[in-house]
Amino acid sequence: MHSSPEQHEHTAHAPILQVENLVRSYKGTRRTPARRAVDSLSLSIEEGEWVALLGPNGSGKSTLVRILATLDKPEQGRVLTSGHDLATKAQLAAYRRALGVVFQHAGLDKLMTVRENLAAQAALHGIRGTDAAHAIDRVAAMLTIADRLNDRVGTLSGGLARRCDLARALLPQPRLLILDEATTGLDHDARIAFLDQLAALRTADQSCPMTIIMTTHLMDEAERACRVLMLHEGHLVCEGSPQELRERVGATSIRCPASSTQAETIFREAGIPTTVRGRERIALAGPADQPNTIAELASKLALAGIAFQIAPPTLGDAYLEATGAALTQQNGDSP
Amino acid sequence: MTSAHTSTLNAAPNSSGFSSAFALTRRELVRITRQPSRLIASIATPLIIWLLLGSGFAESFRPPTPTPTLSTSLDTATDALGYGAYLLPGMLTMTVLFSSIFGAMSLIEDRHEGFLQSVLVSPAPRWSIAISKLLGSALIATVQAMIILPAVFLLGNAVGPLGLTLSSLALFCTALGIAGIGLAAAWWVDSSQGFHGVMNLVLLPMWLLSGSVFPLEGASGWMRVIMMANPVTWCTKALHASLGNPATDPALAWAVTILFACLGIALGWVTLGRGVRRF
Repeated sequence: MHSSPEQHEHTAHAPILQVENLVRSYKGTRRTPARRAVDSLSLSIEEGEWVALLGPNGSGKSTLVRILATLDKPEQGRVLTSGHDLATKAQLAAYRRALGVVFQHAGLDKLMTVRENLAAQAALHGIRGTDAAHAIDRVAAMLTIADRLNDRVGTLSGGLARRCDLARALLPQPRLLILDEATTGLDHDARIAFLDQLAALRTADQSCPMTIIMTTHLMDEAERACRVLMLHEGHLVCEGSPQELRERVGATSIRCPASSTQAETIFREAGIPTTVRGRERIALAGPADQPNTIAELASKLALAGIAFQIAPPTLGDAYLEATGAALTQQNGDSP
Repeated sequence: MTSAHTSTLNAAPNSSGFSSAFALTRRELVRITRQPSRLIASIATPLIIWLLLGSGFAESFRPPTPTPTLSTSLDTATDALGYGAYLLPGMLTMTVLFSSIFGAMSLIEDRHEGFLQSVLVSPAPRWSIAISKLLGSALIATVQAMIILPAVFLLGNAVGPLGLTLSSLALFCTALGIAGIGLAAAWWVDSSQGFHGVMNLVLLPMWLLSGSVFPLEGASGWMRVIMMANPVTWCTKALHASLGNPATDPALAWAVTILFACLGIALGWVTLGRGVRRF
């Protein structure tokens, strides 16, 4: 069957991934009520973009990623890749060939060596013989794990196992890489090193940068993305580049200890709403309030002997303003 | 149009189901060699039980005289059959039962550790995943039982190459059947502990009522009905027949054994092939 010129035109400019009105619910149990994990969600991702799905636990990120990774299917809505519905078997197979996924738990067999794991992955993608050996050498060199290829995965450190898992996902040279909370369990330095490596790999081929979709609840990770999609209770609440989102808040955040009732009174009297996030009370003073209000507030807090910090808005503040809810306090949650 | 377009989505080669199945089966075999404790326990347990039961019941065991309606191939050897010789095929059955069920249980481990997800998002056909799990579990179980099999020579059984081949086939078919049931259960049970519970509830009575410990011909009433409905009974009978022990209805035993293997393959196929939620 031949396609019409209009269809070619359509697919040539179609996003690499498009989600239309996706709905996925989970049945309730005796202890938990039924809930819609993803509710009428639509989004579009262009080829070569690095997109971060930002939201706290339960915002629908993982459910969305399971659907995008073809591990689950939606009740309603559809997923299109380059303009074609994934519902067709041929398109699904082609999509899976173009897909690399890094999950929260490394998809490696701990009893096998890194090389054996990568060889198995190559076989699953139909890469055989010398092609497989070359592909393993290529990803091992890229991720600097060549000297650990003969080690069993169970003996590797968390950071190294993560790199090996990324090597597994990159082995078939995917055009789309999905990372689901892929830095979970890594310490700060290992997390930064992993993200640096990912950024370098993405642009390794300047002519065709890899598309990356990354779920996270950490702001510093989301800051790396070209575009941040903020999810809340299964809905896409806002999107934009990290800078756009911060500028959209247009506010300065004032942070002080949550335990101080005096601070609460000072903010209330100034007519500025506050939110408690972990041990912090955060007030967002908008452009209309600045700069006099901020100076006034600062002097009142100082006179009351309350420790406080004035900072430019963060993605966490943008999320707070868009949803009224806070991202979980984590190690990457500092401005 | 679809094919033209899909080829531009990724230049990676099409995944061959056979190479995927081979790679995943190989993984199952490599894993067992890296778990020597699992290997030793699965062989030592039936040997110890064989030794204890065989010694304990040796004097009190009397092979029953079969009823005329069931008797089709019994000969005078029945009377000469000791309990140790009678029990050995049952121990081989026990080895394949528990080994193949543990093989199937690795599906739960694969799911928790993320390996299964990485396979499911790959372009490998679903049937190759099912076949590799079934084949891997069944091969390991059969080889473990075959390590015990030479014990027949200690008992003075004159088993030729054909007998050994048929015994291995019966063991392999039994292992496939059990692995299929195990995979279906492992797909729906979320924890290894839960799976252990379910399997002990089902597998232990299944083995005890398979003619492994006491013969079908000696059972009466309701127990006889259950034993005849138990496919493992017929697998054990096929094993008895292969090893030259007196066995009734060997043709029926073989038919049920092969059917049981087919059922296992079908169960594994349907569970892993169609049970996966996908587009």
